[in-house]
Amino acid sequence: MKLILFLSGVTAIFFISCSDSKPKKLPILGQSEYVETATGTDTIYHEIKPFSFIDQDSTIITNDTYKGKIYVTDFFFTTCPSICPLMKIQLLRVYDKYKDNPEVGILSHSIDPEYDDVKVLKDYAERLGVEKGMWHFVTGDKDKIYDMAQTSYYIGVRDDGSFEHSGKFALVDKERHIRGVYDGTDEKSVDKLLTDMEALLKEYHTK
Amino acid sequence: MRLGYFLLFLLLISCGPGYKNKAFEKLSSADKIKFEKYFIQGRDLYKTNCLSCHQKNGQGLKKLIPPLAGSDYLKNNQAKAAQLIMDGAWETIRVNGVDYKPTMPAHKHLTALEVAEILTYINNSWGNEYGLVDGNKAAEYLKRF
Repeated sequence: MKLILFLSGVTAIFFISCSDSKPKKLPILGQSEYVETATGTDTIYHEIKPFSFIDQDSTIITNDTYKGKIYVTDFFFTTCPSICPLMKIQLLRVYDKYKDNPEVGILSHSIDPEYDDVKVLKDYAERLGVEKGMWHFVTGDKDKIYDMAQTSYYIGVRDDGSFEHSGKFALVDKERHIRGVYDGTDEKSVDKLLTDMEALLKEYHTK
Repeated sequence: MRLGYFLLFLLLISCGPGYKNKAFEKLSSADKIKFEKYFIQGRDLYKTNCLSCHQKNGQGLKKLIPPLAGSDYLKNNQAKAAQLIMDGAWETIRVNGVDYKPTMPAHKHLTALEVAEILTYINNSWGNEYGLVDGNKAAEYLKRF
């Protein structure tokens, strides 16, 4: 007999993570399903859906690109006059710290993929000083990008003529689970992201 | 004794604003008052209109967003700078030897006076000493384009 129970409400509580000084295992965010099996109950965690986009070097970027990596992701657009520069300054901190670490990646999605084609993204990455292949700026099918934001990463984006977006960063582990969501415009929140990334990497090294 | 240190501290923070630069010292006392008023207003306007791109230290962002601090363009093109604040910037602009392709939005909601206040603030922050721009001057600048 298979009984699937949906536990709602868990999501919201997890997003407000408390700032303990002691490093502990990061929560797995999102709505989990509990499946009864012959031997007990299995938990099926929310998982990032498969995706396929194209980056600033015309490379196809999929889940496999981030196989064996933890990654930080955000949604932005190159002509953004509001919060994107602040987000990129904060993401540069992640890049500067982890650019030589093969276990870490960054994935920035354009929410204006029609304007932000490969050429525009290439120029943007170069102007930002990003040389290492660990940071992919991707473009692709607009509906698919928006769907990834809303249903996989839980990052609010909307195109009402002026590309609304929340400026959030999501931290994804090697099993494609979300382990943290941060305010990408807030230096302190990104301090927490950097601490959490260390804790997450440690989880893999102490296994 | 403790009170003494406290008073000294108060004295230090009230006397040491960074904008009292060479450009400020050259002004008449009436213009000094104007300068201070503009600078303080300009600082608030900068926070709401400019800071997220040009940053609190005026450094901009790598080769994406040009710096205002130490900017030769700002120093030498005050009238054009006024117009860029108002109308935005989309054409290639060379700042300190680097070509930027800006995507700066227009700020049509600003008045000429507010543009003057922003200019006075960015002209005299982060080591810049480009002086006061008053409201009439900014209005004249804006008419040129």
